[in-house]
Amino acid sequence: MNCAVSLRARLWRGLALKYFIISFGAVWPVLAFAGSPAEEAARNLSGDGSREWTFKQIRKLMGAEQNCIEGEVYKFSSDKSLMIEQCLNGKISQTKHVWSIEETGPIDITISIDGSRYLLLFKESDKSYSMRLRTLAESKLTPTIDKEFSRPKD
Amino acid sequence: MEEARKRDWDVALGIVAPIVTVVGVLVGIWQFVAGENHKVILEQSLIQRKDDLDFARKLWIERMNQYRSVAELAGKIIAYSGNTKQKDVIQDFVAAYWGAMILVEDKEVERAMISFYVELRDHSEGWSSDDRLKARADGLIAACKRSVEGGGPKPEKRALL
Repeated sequence: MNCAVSLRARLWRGLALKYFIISFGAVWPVLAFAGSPAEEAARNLSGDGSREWTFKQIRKLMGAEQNCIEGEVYKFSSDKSLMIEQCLNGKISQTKHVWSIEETGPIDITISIDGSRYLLLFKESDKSYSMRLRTLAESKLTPTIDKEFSRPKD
Repeated sequence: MEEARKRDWDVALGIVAPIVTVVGVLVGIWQFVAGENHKVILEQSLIQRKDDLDFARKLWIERMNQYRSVAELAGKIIAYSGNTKQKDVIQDFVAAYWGAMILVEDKEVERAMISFYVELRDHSEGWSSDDRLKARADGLIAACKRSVEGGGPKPEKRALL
């Protein structure tokens, strides 16, 4: 009699342990990879590799040399590097920078590009994604400056 | 000899005594005038301090009233989400933003006001959500609360007269 009770108890314990392991295994990856808002923003910005965000589409002139009229494109990479391609004085110039992201408030994500800090905002529309780099006004008399970028949906 | 000496003393005392009396009276008058002047200066400084405190108290009460009014407007903006009334309340908020709040707000409240104002614009352009607006309203009201808890505006120190 005692032996049967002990066997049943051991079976229940084993079953409970098995359910615990299964449920832990199912929940842990969700919790571990859910990511913070800053990580999510970084993924929006660069994806797994890199993403190009256009401030102004670069307009190129026909010709042998790389002449251009205007344009500015930011290429964010997941290794936290940033390539800025700009049309300056009719020539396309490329400069390398570094970026990082942090949460600076309950709903604020701040991106730092070579030490210059901007609030980061995203918006999704039917055909494209938009992103804003914002310099928030320090007082009511100074303007809040938004630099707006876009990229087409994949 | 003795008589002559006594007379000399009497003459000397007759001269010195009125001088001492006059000097005593003059010192008394000077003390009275100086005391009165000091009293006047003290009273003026007390009146000045009282005026400063009254002004600070009025400003603090005005600050409380404005903060309460802005908190109510922020609450209504959230409550009237999707309602036609929201537009009017936003206009009232903008009026407070560029109006009475400038008189009373401190730097932290000013920053919270700017954040809420910009969030309202973002919301209208599709860059924000109701939840973000709620968070900004919460931040604004918390900033107002901290400003009030920090005490009323201190009167500026002025030189005593």
